[in-house]
Amino acid sequence: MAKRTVIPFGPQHPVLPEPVHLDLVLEDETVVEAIPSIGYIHRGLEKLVEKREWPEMVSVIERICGICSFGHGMGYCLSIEGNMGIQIPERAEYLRLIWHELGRVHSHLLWLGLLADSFGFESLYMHTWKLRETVLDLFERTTGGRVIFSVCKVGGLRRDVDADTLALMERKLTELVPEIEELAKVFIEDSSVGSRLKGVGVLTAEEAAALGAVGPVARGSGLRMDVRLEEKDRLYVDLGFEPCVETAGDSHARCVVRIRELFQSIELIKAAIQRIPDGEVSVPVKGNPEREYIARVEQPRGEAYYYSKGAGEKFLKRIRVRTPTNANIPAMVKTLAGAQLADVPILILTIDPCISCTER
Amino acid sequence: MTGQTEKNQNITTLGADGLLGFVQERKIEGWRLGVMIANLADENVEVIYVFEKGNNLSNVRVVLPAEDPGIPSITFLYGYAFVYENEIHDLFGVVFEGLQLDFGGNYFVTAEKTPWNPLLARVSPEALQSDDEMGDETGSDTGQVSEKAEEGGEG
Repeated sequence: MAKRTVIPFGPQHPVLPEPVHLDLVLEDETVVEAIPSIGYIHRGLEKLVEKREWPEMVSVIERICGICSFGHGMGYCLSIEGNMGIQIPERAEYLRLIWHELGRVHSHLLWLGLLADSFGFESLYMHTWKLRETVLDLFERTTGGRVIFSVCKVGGLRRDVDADTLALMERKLTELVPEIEELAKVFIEDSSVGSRLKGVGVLTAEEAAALGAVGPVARGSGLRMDVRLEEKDRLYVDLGFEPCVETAGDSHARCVVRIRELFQSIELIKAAIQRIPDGEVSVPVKGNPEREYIARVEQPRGEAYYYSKGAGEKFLKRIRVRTPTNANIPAMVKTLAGAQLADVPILILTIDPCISCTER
Repeated sequence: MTGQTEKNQNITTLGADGLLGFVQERKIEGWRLGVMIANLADENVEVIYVFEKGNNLSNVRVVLPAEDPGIPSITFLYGYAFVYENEIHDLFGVVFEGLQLDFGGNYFVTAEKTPWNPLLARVSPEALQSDDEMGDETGSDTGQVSEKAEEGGEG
């Protein structure tokens, strides 16, 4: 047996935008075992329910993450709305879908850029993030924010979007499609990219299921799972939603799933813009949450849970958010075992880790 | 964003001794573990297990005394439960017996021990102390790895 060496990876590393630590046990260049440590930035945001009234908590929950912030705010609102039996107006449902899918486009473009950066393809990285700017501009135009949007509230939305702005969004997204196609061609077909991704970090469907993987990680391994499908969301059903699934289970498959979801999300947004009805975007909310409620949302990185527990008071008893990165850590550890040391940054990235989400 | 179904909100309450049987059934029937949630309720800690299968959730609650919360680990059935069990241990002080991949209280770095279960900290500082010692011996992940690496090196 070759001599084993332990290499500490992180919490500060060029490929990691956020702190996570791995002890990599190596035999020569091969990773035999990887043991994760997190907890460097645990913020205890959930505990703020003791000091913030439940309508204010949406602002706290949104700040769990700077990438999928809209989804977090929406998930919290869904949980409280379910808790209180509130039905929001249909126009608000459509606008939530539009912003949520726009968040997915933002997240996946950001991730593709980071992936390109991780294998040293700087121009691809910069071009990807240039396209992401278009999405951020659309967020700014429609919500006023580029990172934290503050448009979701319990009972609907804080602001509407006029027809001209929705038409502008549709036009900008239509213009974005050929540019993403150009990028996609490089990620999917370029031989140098393929040599870093194909066959690397293979996770079979059985392994993904056994390890509780979610989101593009699970779908890249052939699992047809997506909360948008499982919750039989009426809007998504009407729009003919079907999850993007790849079967190879390697890093390339996880990349392809996200690229296909970029196009899918844009199509969903455009279809929603065509169908959005007129009307109010919020309903009055009276009373306080009195029971427990569990809501699920398909975030860009995968399934997220939002549990709320009220007692008829202005302060909730508990809010619990389970984010997709939390669920994907065991899958990441599995893909690292047997990998080459040089592939470790890519394998960490292919689960699209968000440590802010994980540590809340 | 409709579709969060009412039928998924029922949470059955079980005694700690009935937990493993319930979880084993879920495992055999092909349910995924969605999340584990801990709450402090009066003088108790509640641990809620949420299992999912497609559009269905199956939820169970186990109520434990906050001053001495202990429960069997389900990691031998659902290995990935270690992320939830370590978190609940660090924040609420719940001891999961038989926890595989135990971080020994070092999963989350918190300024105070079991910050979400003040009853445990108030009543049983000795228990926390012994927990610390256990963490020093076995819980340090770096320590675990170093040990394994040394074994490998010798082999």
